[in-house]
Amino acid sequence: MKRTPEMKEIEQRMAPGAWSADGFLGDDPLGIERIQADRASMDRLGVSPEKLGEMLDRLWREGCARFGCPLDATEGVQIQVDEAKGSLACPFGHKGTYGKGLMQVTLDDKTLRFSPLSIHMIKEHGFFGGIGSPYRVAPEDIAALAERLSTCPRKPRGVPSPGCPPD
Amino acid sequence: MDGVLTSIAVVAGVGVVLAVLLEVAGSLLADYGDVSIDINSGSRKLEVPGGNKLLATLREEKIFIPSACGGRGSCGECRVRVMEGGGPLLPTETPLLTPEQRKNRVRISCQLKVRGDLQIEIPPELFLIKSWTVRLARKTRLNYDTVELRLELPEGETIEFKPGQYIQIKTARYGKVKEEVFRAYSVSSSSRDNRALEIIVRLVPNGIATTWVHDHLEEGARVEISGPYGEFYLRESQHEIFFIAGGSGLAPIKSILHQIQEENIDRKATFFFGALDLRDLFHVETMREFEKNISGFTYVPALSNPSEETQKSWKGEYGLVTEVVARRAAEGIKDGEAYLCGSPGMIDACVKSLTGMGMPEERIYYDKFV
Repeated sequence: MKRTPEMKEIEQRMAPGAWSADGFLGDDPLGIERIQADRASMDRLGVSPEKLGEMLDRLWREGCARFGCPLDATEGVQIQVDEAKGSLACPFGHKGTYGKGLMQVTLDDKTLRFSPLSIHMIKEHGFFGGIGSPYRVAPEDIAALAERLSTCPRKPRGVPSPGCPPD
Repeated sequence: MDGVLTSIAVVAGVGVVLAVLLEVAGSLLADYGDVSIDINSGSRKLEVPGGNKLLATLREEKIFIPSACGGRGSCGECRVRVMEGGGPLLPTETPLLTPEQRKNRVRISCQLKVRGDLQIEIPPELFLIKSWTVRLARKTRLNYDTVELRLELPEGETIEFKPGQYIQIKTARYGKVKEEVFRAYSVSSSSRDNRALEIIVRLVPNGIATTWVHDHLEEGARVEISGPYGEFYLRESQHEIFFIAGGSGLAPIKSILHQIQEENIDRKATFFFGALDLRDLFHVETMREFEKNISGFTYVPALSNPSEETQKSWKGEYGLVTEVVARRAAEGIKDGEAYLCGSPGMIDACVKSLTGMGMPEERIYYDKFV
């Protein structure tokens, strides 16, 4: 698809060094047209970015309440949220800002990385990050996470570490 | 589906092109000449070239309006009241203002272009904000992801600030980063040391400013700063003080502790510092020194996710900082006063916990990492 001036402007904001050190596009030749490719994956999987974004929002909130302590969400899924100082605007032009921070979700042997902005861009824009970018998470991996959380019971409470509250 | 996307993109594109053309034409063809800006009914009168955004115009005149996003029109913090001039509210301002603010003529200064004479109102304390080019005299690693910078003012210059306030620093271009950005950091040093400032910077993954500080900024470098800003400072009262912080939120608390020590402020105070593990703690010795020098002061570090190795030697508190506060200080909370600095999640949880234990919300002061 021919890139419109609006798409070019968004890609400029997403470039490394523009609004974040490493940017949001990685080395993806598709740029923000990755949205269409990911949309096709979502359709194939039968899930919507909005629903996945809502799930990630919920995980972010649960993680924040533990001030950095890991949370065993279910079998094979651990979540750790580290909030940081500052906020970022949405490169697509949404008003308001999104807090900085990192949510690491361990799904079996994979680690998925999200920020409040990356969650917003998934939910509102269907943008999962360009291939090779720090916060790129493939739709298939998030769908697998959603599937695991919806089908597995909460992990039975084990012996908590002396610091962490029970999950 | 491609056809629909193309149509949307074309319509949006035409709109953007027209907006860009108008902006370019405006900047090339429109000559606004000099305009006057009257601030606070004659307190200051500026004669400035028209055509720039109000935030940038005021900054050129050394009047610094706080702005977290550096003028991108997203944070909505650079508010000023425009009593005359300025034209109608712009679509880019509307979502950032409450109905009450719109009624009170509040505008977003990074969006408002100075096209004619203006009468504006700003808080008078903003006149006290100054800018300097300072020298990075010392960069000290505090732990694996946190450094402390000592910034020395130019010869003969001093800064007056309230312990707890923050400054903004302007980063330089580096690597792929082609634009300078402004970022806020709380001062961690004593306000009596008015020839220099210390700030604490924790590395944020993928962060433009913190990557610059950690990986590119070297001792001896010149850095542009402005300040002081902020309403986070020790209130005069006799209430027992509860400081609660995590990470680089230690910075303003440390500055306030210097003040308590230097001014011999006689109030019982406890500092609860939340960390995951031992490796996240820093300035422990400094805090122990405060304990020796400030009567009635106690430092309580709490670990929420200690390693097995740490558990073999750690004799201090375990748990989320909110739980430790509840455990150690519940009886004093009701009549106390709290100063919080840390992540939004931590602040929200602390406010809920403290008010739940009976502390009135108006005695809880905080500096969120936003």
